[in-house]
Amino acid sequence: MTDTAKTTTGAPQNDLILDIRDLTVHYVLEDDCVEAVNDISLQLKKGRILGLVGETGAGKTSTALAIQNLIPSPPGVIKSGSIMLNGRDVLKMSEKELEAIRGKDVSMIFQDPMTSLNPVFTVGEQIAESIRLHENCSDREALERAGDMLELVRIPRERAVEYPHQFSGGMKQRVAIAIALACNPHLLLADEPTTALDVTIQAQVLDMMLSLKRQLNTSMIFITHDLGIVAEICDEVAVMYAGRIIERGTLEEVFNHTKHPYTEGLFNSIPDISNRKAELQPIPGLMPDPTKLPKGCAFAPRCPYCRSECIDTPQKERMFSATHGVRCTAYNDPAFRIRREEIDS
Amino acid sequence: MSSPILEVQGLKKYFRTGRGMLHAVDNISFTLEQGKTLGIVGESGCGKSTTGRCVLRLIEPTAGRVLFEGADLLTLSKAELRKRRADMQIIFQDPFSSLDPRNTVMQTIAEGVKIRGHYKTPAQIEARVLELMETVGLAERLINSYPHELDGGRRQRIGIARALAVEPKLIVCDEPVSALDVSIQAQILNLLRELQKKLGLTYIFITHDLAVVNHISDEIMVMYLGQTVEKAPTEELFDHPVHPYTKSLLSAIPIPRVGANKNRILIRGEVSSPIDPPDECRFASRCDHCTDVCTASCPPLREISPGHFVACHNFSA
Amino acid sequence: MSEMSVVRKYRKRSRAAEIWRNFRKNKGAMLGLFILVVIFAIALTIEFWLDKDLVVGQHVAQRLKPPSWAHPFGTDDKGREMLWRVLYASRYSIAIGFVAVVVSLLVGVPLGAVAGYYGGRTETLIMRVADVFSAIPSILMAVVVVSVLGNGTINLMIAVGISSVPNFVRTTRAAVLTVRNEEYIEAARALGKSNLYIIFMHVLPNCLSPILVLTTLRVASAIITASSLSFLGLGISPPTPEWGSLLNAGKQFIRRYSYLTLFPGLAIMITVLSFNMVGDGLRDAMDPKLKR
Repeated sequence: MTDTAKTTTGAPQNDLILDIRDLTVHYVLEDDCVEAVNDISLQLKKGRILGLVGETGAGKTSTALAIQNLIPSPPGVIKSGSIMLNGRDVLKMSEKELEAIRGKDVSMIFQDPMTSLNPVFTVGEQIAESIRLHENCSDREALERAGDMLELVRIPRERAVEYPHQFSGGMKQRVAIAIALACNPHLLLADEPTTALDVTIQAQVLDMMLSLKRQLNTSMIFITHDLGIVAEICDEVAVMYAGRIIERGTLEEVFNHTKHPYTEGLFNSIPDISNRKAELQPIPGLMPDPTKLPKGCAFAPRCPYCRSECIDTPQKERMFSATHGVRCTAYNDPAFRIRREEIDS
Repeated sequence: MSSPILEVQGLKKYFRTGRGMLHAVDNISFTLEQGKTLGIVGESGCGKSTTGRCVLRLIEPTAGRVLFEGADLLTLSKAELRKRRADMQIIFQDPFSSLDPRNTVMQTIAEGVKIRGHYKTPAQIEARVLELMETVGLAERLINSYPHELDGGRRQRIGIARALAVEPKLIVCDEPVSALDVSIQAQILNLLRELQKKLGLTYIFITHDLAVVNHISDEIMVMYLGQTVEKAPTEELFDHPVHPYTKSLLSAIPIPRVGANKNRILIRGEVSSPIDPPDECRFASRCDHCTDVCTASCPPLREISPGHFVACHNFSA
Repeated sequence: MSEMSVVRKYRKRSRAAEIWRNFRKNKGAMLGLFILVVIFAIALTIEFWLDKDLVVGQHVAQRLKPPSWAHPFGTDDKGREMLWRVLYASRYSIAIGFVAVVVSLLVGVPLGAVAGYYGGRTETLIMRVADVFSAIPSILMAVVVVSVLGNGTINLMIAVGISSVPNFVRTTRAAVLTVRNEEYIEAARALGKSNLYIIFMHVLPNCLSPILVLTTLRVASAIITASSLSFLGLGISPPTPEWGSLLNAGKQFIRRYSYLTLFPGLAIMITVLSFNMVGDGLRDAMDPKLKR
């Protein structure tokens, strides 16, 4: 991980589209404080897809919102950190600057296509709106380009005059993708975009997103809890647990040379149809209360390898290669190994 | 050889809509032996949930017979049906909306316990509720908790405890783990399997997730637009899928291994309308192997090898 | 075996206590509640500590005196203290408001529940009848009822009650519709429970929130309707004071002795406002999703 110097001209260095350092986001409520994101660091190169993996409450959506500086301000508080998007710190931008980059440099697709589209505007209008906001072009041109975007997501352009309720779930999600990509953003944030879709439609949408990425060279952060999807389209992976990134690296490193016990637990608990004989081994217990996170490892109570030092010692990230980082105190012992087999590709 | 605990014959459910007759469930038949699990698999709109509810007569079927332990449920009077209900229960998909938000864990499970009348005094009822909570893995201290205070996994356990409280013979599990986190899914699946072994329960397991159903079913029935397109024992279905839809369903599931997700069979197009469907194969418009005979008539379900049924004019094993 | 019941061992704060806790945080609602408690206290006890003669007697020597230290609200044209008249009138307003709403509750909620739960022709019949009734302006309907039944407090209560019924039917039906399709209702049917059991044990308890809020708000409007009727000369007859009839009596003096209408008017306004604030506060307090 090379150091990225912050420049005033805003030119990205080392072709990193995104560079998050030490980000901490908390939600301050009346009686408690929800520690949603805790001291995470993440880098993404141009044209790469990062899979942000974790279960409910791990902090993935908060991270995505933070990247656009969209954390609702009471009760959300950005306690620390910087988010360099294309060389500029998103957290230090004014509201005007942010409005200029949202939809243009970075845009987002949400999980539920049913509610993310405005039911009273036609589909073409909604795509054109995004274009009109950020580019200087006439209404007619914007609608023309909206038609182009529809074709890009494999919907006939004649359907631009139809309303969201006339489309199925999968098509609505493709419209949402078209809106998000209309201004050719550098970075696309997709928050579980296929979770609400049938698996055959999901396959279509993923296939389409991959080909879009190849065509437009968009970088993506794909939030999901499905390791199968990660294996299918991601180049890099970051696994979140209780607001921390506990393992990150290239796809090959995290899948074939898994190091963190939680990641191993995830692999063991998901059914794999290519390996049907295997018993499902669930991770016992539950994710900890985000208002009462321990000082040491948050996974310790559920970890089969837990040692005494894991409980109190604050964790540091240990790098196993230039790109493979793991937060696990057990690796202080050089002889420590998890049971999951290493796979040689 | 004991007779099957459940026999469904020609089950149909049609809904009248403004635009025509919606064929939600169209001629579904299957038998189920006691202690076994039938997995019903399909995507949204295929009619699997409606089938499950019709079997329990929570929805009134339009036609067909549902023989539960020999007696046709659909001919019973309302009063007789209510008495029979204790033998067959349902676990729902949404762990939130399936629990009355104003009732505590104790009240919800006790409602089930009181059905059969085996436990009469409050002390007996409480003891039984605690027993059930332990069986499903709910801590004792949660007894006075409300659903909104608990996470999805725990709420689902309450639903399971309530279903068990009635001492049923058959349980319809309607996507019981779809709304849960991955690590909790595995916990609940293992629990359901354990309970089946311990109590001799029979399950109908409805899901869209083929990977999940593999772990719990003895036999799988694949549904598409209200019809059965393929039915086979679990191993057989995964090893030798025959129907084009089954094959693409299997291939669409992302595998959590690097490099394993190539050679996808992508189905083109969208599901056709379930309203007044014409007499042809309902998958025809999306099928790569579609021929003239496919649009001429609807293929019947045929047994192509022992226990393996397919509805396709052009199947190739 | 004398172990403590596990249910008792892990006893928690009940929902009612939770709701009270949330309600207390709302300053406006607490103010409204305080005012209502005072008005109630007065309405319930005034019969016992006030000399009735002060309210309905004649004291011509003191007539039409403007507000002063000796006569805080002034005196009316018969020389009676407006202060006592206004306070005494609270009895009727509160009584009418409450009884009227209880009548509408007892008639409207079951009808709405049946309409919402069973649907079909039953629902259509009930709702269309309710529509007809709500198309008639409530004052007009109350006027008709009182004209038919005659004046008097009881008849006024019935009249005002009837005019509120369609609201309760509609609100209950709407609430029942949202609850009816929830899976826990299906679960209760799967257990083999009868429809009546399900309506009373599962459906209605989950509809309490909108019905309760509507009740507090309708008490307020019942008071206004009752006052309007008395103002029109129907319902309560003089010399019994009722806020509306006080307004009616004072209107002929409104130019020179405006205080005669000011204080009854204020009384209506404050009472109704307090009910509204309590109703709003209750709605917010019962909503578990509201971030406080």
